[in-house]
Order: sequence, then C-alpha cells, then structure tokens
Amino acid sequence: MPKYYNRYNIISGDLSNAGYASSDIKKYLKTLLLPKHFIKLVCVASYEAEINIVIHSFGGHIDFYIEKNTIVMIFSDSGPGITNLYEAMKEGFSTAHNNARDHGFGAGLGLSNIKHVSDEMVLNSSCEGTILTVKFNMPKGEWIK
Amino acid sequence: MNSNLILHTNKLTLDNIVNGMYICDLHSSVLKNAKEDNVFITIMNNINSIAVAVMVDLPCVIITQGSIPTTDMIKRANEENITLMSTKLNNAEIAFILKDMGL
Repeated sequence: MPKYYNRYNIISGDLSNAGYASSDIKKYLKTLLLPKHFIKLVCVASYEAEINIVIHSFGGHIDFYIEKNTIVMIFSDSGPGITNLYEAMKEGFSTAHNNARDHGFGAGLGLSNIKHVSDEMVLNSSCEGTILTVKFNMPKGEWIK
Repeated sequence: MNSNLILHTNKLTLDNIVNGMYICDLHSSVLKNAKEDNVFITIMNNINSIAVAVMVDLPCVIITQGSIPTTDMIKRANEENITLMSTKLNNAEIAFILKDMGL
C-alpha cells in the first residue's frame, strides 16, 4: 500500500482553476518537511503536466502517491493524444491554441521542463489518451521512515 | 512605495521579503529559471501568473504596461499572501526602478 495517495480531477479548458492540484500537492509536500529545492522540482513537473491536461486534453486526472521513498505522479487523460511524441519532446514545439498562449502557456517548454527536473519520466500516448508518469526519488533525510 | 506602482492586495502583503527579480511572460521559463523570493515581473494579468508564483515561491508579482489584474487574480494573491502590484511602465522600465531602489 502506498504511504499516501490522492487523485485530482482536471477539467479541460479550465485555465482559471489550473494549478490547484499542484498547489495542493505542494502543501502536502511541505508538511513532510522536505527540502525546499526538492519540493520546487516536484511542483514544476506537476504544474506543467497539469496545465498540459487543461490545455491539450479532453480532461483527465492526476494520481499522486508516495511509495518506497519515491514520489509518483501519473497524469492521464482521455485524448485526443499526442500525434508525434518525438516532436512534442522538442523545446519550442507546441500545438497550443491562442487562448493558452494569451495566458502565458504554449511555449513548447513544458514536457522538456518535466524531463529536466524529474528522476524518471515515461510518456505514452494514443488517440484514446495520454499517460505521463513522473517519478522523483526523495532525498535522504529524516522524512524517510 | 514608488509612485509608479499600484498595490492591489492587502497592505500586509507589503511585508513580504524579496530578493532579485525575474522578468518573463512565458510561464514555463518562470517555472524553470526564477529563483525563490524573486519579484516576478510580467505583462500577463491572469490568475495563472499567481499560480506560477505560488509554485516557485515568488512573493511579489508586478503586472506591467497598464494591464489591470483580474479580480480572481487579486483574490488568489491575497489568499496566497503574494504582493500583487501593477504599473504603467514596461518590464524593463520597472526593473530599472527596482534596481535603483536596491533590489
């Protein structure tokens, strides 16, 4: 059994509420007294991936849990999927619509940011949906029990 | 407070301690590059600018070039104890003023 598990529903197109799940994850990580720089890395990945679901998908959810000193976040949505994963991973490549760009998103940096900050990232996509798994190894310290 | 700046959040947020600044209108760049306690200077007057500030611990957001912060943005900033200000100046002009103020 994971030490902690939470699921967040993410609504498509709801930019004004985007970030609340990541904010909640941050609040939980703070209660664990993890180092600030580590929390920041997890939050960057979480926020980028949350925004991706809002902007690009028909909606989905985040599963967040901690298991064996690893933080696992699984971002899954119900489509339409990423046409070209190789292109999507390139910095600067974006398919975001103008509304997202007007809000400061769609620079094509999200997925590469996630790859940069995480310890492990797995991206699977089909027309039925995309599943992004991101893992962080918790730094050694007294918060590991 | 400098006459170029308008405060939108409650006065208690003026007690926030800041160190350095980061100027950007692309949220992914802010997430990647801004440092804790930076003043975040941007033209983006939407709630997502506050959400980004919350993620990377930026205690102050300045909206530039006469953009007016939305009401939900002000509400969220107050909730998160983030100083939200606006200015008619552009990103660079306000940055020079903050530098002169010692930031």
